[in-house]
Amino acid sequence: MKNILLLIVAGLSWEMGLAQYRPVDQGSSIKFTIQNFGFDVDGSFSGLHGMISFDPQYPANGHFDVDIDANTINTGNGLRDNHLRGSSYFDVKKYPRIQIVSAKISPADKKGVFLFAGKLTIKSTTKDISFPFEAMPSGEGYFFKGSFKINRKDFQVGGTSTISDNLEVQLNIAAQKETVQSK
Amino acid sequence: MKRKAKLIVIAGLCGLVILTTAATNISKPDEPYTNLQVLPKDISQADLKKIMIDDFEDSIGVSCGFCHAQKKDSDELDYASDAKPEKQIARQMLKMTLNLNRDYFKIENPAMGIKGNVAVTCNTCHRGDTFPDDGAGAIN
Repeated sequence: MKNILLLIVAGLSWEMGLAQYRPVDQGSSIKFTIQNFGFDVDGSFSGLHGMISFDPQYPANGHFDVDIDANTINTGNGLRDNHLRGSSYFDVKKYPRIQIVSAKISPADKKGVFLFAGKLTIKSTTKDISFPFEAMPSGEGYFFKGSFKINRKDFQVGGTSTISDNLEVQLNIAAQKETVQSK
Repeated sequence: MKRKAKLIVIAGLCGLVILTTAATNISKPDEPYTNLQVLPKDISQADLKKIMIDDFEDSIGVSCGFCHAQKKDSDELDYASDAKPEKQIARQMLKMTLNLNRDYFKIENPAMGIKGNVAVTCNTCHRGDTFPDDGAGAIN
């Protein structure tokens, strides 16, 4: 079903003349920083998947639908990673993907900078999210860079603990141009 | 007769080697620790090992590599390194535990290890569970 939706989005974007880009792990990083007992702990995810329609000339026609593999969480500590994969945190068996979908892409005041407004879904909980991001041409694709802050408890990720509620997510997404078959 | 003299010389030399080795071992001080910030800087190897094994490994359910970073280009651990935030967190938890003993249990000089005199230990909360935040340790 999801693939069909992606195809429809891809098809519509192609009709509108927007280029399609596929996010790829190579050259990308999805990192987060969270404090535990007052000290910064870094982690990352991979397993990028999805489709991006984007043209800096027509940002309002752009669309991002990107998800990552929750099971790939990596904090550099295997014991902790397994704990985070468990039911009290990401519950990756039940909720294997973390998804971000745009509702509106608009230009910002600075050239090459845009505003993302959309929805972030973790553990089947969806919340509105907005943040500025940069779009830099990279070969035939784009490199998207942005960051935002969230409260993990808004998504039922973990309970009360020495880990802070708020964390910062840094997105560095390499997207390769998708080749669309001509009609 | 010559043979007996030879045996005496060999035995003497062996004895000398054994005595020298023993003397060296006795006088050899513990390896100096270069980055102790919460534990006493003059802590003995035995005391440090007891804290690491009894208080950390057994109570928290972790092995050395949980907190200690690996040396570059080597499988060995760099015990002095602060590269992993887990080590800083462990220090902070150790301070908290010692302060709890001093401030709430009125233990004058709380200490862990061989001369341990603490009422609250790592095990009080962890119960062998690395992540007791979800209450699993208390249940188990």
